[in-house]
Amino acid sequence: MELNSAVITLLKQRICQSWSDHDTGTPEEATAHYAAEGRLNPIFDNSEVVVGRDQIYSWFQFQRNKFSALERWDFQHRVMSFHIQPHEQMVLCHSHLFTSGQKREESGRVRTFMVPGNSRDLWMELNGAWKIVSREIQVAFAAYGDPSKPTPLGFPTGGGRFEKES
Amino acid sequence: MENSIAQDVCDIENLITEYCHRLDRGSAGDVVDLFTDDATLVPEFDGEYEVHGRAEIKRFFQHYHDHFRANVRHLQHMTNTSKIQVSGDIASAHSYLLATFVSAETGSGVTVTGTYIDALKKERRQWKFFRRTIQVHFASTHSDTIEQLEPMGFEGESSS
Repeated sequence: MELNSAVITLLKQRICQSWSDHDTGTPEEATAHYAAEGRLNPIFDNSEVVVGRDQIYSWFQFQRNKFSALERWDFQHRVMSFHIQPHEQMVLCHSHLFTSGQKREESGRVRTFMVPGNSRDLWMELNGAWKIVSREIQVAFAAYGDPSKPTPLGFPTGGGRFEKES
Repeated sequence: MENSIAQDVCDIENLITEYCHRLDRGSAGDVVDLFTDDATLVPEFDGEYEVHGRAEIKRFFQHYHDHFRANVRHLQHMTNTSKIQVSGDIASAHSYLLATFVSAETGSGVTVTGTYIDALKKERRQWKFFRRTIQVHFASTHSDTIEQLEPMGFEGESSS
């Protein structure tokens, strides 16, 4: 397997799309990035490896039911520091993650969370499309805080400022 | 075909990154140069309004620099996980935002998360923002903040 810069650029795009769908896509969209016999290993969860697209679909469905939009929101996995190298007929990509979001605790208190971690993926081009053969997700630690909103800038009305129609 | 799309994706990634550096350290004019003449800026984090045209967008960023950037230290906007779709000379991008700074008033470090949603146009072989929406999700303040780390104490050989 030879990797040129065009392939690496497009593969990085596929990785970003997979994490974006992991965060906000439907279970179908999140699962579509995996090969039919793909493996998802959420090591942070201390649970079994999830094998096959049907089981991965069930995992995303379970995750979205467990953490509804009322309990956890603004969920973002930032993926960066890609280390991409050929691995037999596949591509091994090790990347760093920085996850953030907000959640409501049982007491009703809203907390922010920031979670560094990493992902170790094996990708393979199957029928012209890059798919995840295996993804392991590790978490380093979680830090919690209290949310606030930025102070308004008070940008004054002028010739080019238009109020949005409600 | 694959090479030209990859080049466009790289150029758009560079544009998105360039915006961060110019916003943090450049002038309002430097920032607005990254927008098309007919661009629209939608700073959703600041209210229900849109800013149309380069002159007004420049005025917005000047206001941002005077009223926000002037009151913070070490401002850094960071983007990643950019999902980019190119179709000829137009494109869309969706990027995660992480910004950090120290409040000059309180000395506390602040982390802000959000999203940039962009429509882009290629004009004279250069990608520019045609419409940029800025969403902020939350800010989180860190009261235990230091701006100068303890020295490691490394003693190198003195050059004579």
